[in-house]
Parts: sequence; C-alpha cells; structure tokens
Amino acid sequence: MMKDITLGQYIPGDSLLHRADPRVKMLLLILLMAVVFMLKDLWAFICFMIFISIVLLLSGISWKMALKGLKPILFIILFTAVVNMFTVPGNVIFRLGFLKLTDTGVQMAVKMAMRLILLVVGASLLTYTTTPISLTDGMEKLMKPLTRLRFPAHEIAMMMSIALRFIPTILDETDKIMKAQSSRGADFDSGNFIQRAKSFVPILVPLFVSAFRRADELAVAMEARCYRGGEGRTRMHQLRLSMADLVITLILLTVCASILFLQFY
Amino acid sequence: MIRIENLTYIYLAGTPYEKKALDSVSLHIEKNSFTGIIGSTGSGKSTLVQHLNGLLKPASGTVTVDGEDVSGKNLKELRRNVGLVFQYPEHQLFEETVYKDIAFGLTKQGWSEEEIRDKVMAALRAVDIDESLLDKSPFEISGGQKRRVAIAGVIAMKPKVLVLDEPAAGLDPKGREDIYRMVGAMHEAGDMTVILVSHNMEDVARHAQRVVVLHKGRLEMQGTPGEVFMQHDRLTGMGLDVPQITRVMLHLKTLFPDLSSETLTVEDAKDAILKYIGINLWKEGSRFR
Repeated sequence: MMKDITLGQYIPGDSLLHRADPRVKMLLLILLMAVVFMLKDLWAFICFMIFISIVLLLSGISWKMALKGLKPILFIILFTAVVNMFTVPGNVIFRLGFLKLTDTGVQMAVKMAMRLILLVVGASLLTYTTTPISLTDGMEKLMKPLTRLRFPAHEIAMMMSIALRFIPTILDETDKIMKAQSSRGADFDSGNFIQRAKSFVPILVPLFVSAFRRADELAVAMEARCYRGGEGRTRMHQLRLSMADLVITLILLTVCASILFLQFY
Repeated sequence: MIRIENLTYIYLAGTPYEKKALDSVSLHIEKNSFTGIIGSTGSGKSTLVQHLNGLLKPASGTVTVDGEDVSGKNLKELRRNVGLVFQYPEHQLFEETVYKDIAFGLTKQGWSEEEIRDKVMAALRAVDIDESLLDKSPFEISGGQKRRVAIAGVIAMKPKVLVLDEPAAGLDPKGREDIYRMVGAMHEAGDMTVILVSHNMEDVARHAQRVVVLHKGRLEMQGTPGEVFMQHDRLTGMGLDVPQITRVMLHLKTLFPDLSSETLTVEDAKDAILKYIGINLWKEGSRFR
C-alpha cells in the first residue's frame, strides 16, 4: 500500500546537476522561473522547452518521471488553457454559441500551458536531483543572513529536516498500523463517507500516540548528544562550491541571456 | 492447512529501490501444528506471514489457507480464519476501554452484544487478564498487560490459524514466560494452528514442533527443532544461533563423546547429563564390585 509511494522525489544519480551545490541549484531555479515569466514569443518558449528537455536527458531522469510530476497539475494546465482559448479577444476562428475561439486565445493558451509545464518541470529538476536533506541544508545556508533580523533560520531548517526524516518513518508506521487493524477486522474501503472517516480512528489514535512517543524520544536523544540549537554548530557535510556549480551557472546564464536577448532585440 | 508454493514477493517493484523479499518459498504447514519461523533481520519472515491473511499479494506463486487462495476476494473470511498478531501489538490499541478494544474485531463481524461479551470474556481468560481491567483505558495498564490485551483482541475472533510475530519482544522474563505459557495452553486446548516468528532460538526450540529457517528470502532449512538445531554451523553462517544450552551440550560432547547432545531445553540437558553420570557411576561402581 503505502510502501509504493516514492518519497521525497530524489532519484539517485551522478550527473552534473546531482553533484551541484543545493544553494546554487535553488538560486538558479529562482532565476529560471523569473525568466520563464519574461518569455513572450512562441519560439522562445519552444527553445526553452528544448533546453529543459536536454537538461532532463543529461541528468538521467526518465520522461516518465518528469511527466509524473505534471500529473497533479494537469487539470490546472487544461483549465487555464481552455479559459485562455475562449476569453482572450482576437480574430475569431470558430464560434460555438456564445463561446468564441480566437487566434490570440489559442496562442495564449499554448504559451500558458508551456509556462506552467516549464515551471513544474524546472522545480522537479531540483527535487529529483537533490536529496531532501541537502535541500534543507542549502536552505539554512541561504537563510542565514536573515538571522540578524532574528529570523530563526536554523530552527526552521532543523524542523524541516526532522519532518522530512520522519515522513518515511510515519508512513511505515501507518502502513503497519493499517495492516494490524485490518488483521483485527477493520475495514477501510466500504461504507458511506462518515463510516469511512470513522474507520480511520483506529489508525489515527495509535499513529498520534506513536508520533508523540517518537518526538519525546528524539528530543531526549538530541539533548543527550548536547544539541543546543544552531549556535556554534559545525556540519558533517560542508557545502562547497565546485566546478559543477560554475558549469551549470554559466550554461543557464548563457541560455537565458541569449533567449531573452533575441526576444527583445 | 497452509500450502505455500513458489512464493516470491518483491518490495517497491519497478523503482530503483526494488528488493526481493521472498524468493520461491515453498512450505506446507499441518493443521493444528506449532511451527516456528526463524531467520535473521531482513530474512523475509514478516513478509512471509503477511501473505497468510492476504495483507500482501504474491508477486508469483500461490498461498492457500484451508484450500482457499489468499489472493481471492473473500478477505474478511480469510482474516477471521487467520489471526495475525504483529510485533508490538500494544501499539495498535486505541479504544477508550480494554473491553472495547478486545471487542473491536468482533463488532465488525456482526455478532450480537451478548455473543461479543461471551467471546471477549473467553479471550480475557485465555490471556489471563483480570476482569477488573475491562473498564480501564488500554493506555493506563502495564506493558505486559497491554500486550496480552492486544493479543486477546485477535484471539477473541477464534482464528483457526494464529500467527505471532515476536510476541515476547521487549517484555521482561516473567512477561515472556507468561506469553509463551498462554500460547502453549491455547495450542494444547485444541483446534488452533500456531505459527511463531521469532529471533529467540530458546523460545522456538522449547515450543515449536517444526522449525522453518529463512535466509535472505529463501527457505534454507526445515524440520523438527532437533534436526534444525543440530546444524549449528549452518545456522551460525546465517547469522542465527542454536539455543544456549544446545551450545553448552555440544561443547560438553567434545569432552564426553558418549553424552547425548540432542538437547534443546535445560530440562532435557539435565536429564541427559544425569543419565550420563548415572550410567557412568554404575559402570564405575561395577568396576569395584
């Protein structure tokens, strides 16, 4: 059941993107998103799509995995596309009752869909090639300057890594409890909505009990190892910029710059 | 009773993390027998027993319980026949009172109020829990009691097959003893096939009539406890062991070759040693006679 959910979305690999520093990847993702919003012409979108596809290919992520990331927002993509097609004014191509399909509308729809796809695939490029732990590490480092403004960067990063660390554990636990309760005769699939909601009580109560027990044990274990927050804490994995970071930064900057340049001049 | 043919199971099939947990395991378990399954961590014991009540479906091969294929549709019936007690079953307690928790499975089966009460009481007696605990919250009783209440919740449904996964893990010696005495008594009382999964060689040697050894998802050995535990070297090679007393006796045998070393419990060992000494004393005495 639960075991079949792939967690985090990290796909192990050894590409340039896998080796790059999470901070660099995050910053570049922000840049990429900004550029995607600045694209205007259809050919620019297509160029960018080709570029992202090449990156996907090079980092060893299968098409299937990339498309899987799109599934949850498929509806949003279709919805915006359809709305755009019929509402944007322009030369009418086709008329169906009060609905008018316009040429600019179709163009806008295609661009909008591509824009959304680019955003999602770009973001999944980050999560597919970066382990959740190095993501939070990178985030902590990036937020560090904000500590001067009393922003709890370390605490937030620690909470995130603990949460991420325990997602598989809690899922395992849920799986185990579900199996145990079904062995005792629990039934999760039949009955009406209220009966089904009720049937989750036998899962939720033990799950909460164990989550609190775990939290308590973890707190004690952390204190036993003298955890006292982020101050003066050193890290086992130091983030260091490498050649890979320089290379991907240069590539992305070049591609973005040339597409934008060609588009505006 | 239970027939497992060429059972293979793969976790996370089709992902980079896929792992073969069971590899063409074939096994027959007799009605009303007491079978111990041993194997090191990750050997596939838990995966195997989860096939018995249809929690997992075979990737290939078949599992039939009482002639009924577990991949079939009637899971409810199957789960009433096969009671599976997971590791640390007390972690599944959730009701407000001990009574409600034990009755949980029964209420799903459509028994009348009275029948449920009778069955809960019978289960309570079987696990040796005092009636005064019935109205307490399952969260305020002791660890050993919780464990027994959780087991009562499974046996209240009167399963034909009772599968226990490490039923004594984490209990103190008295708690262990109590659990095994209870399981032994239930098995002897009749109509129940018991399958015990454990790391503890002593417990398996003492209680099981047959022992099955799993290693890396494969069935490596099976036989009576005597047959299995005499193969000390093979078991050690799989990260397992033989009962301590068997090890002691095997060592003693190197010193006294006539000593019978096929002993799995301290009681048997005592008898064997006494017999050896007795015979020898008699021989010795005869020399002076």
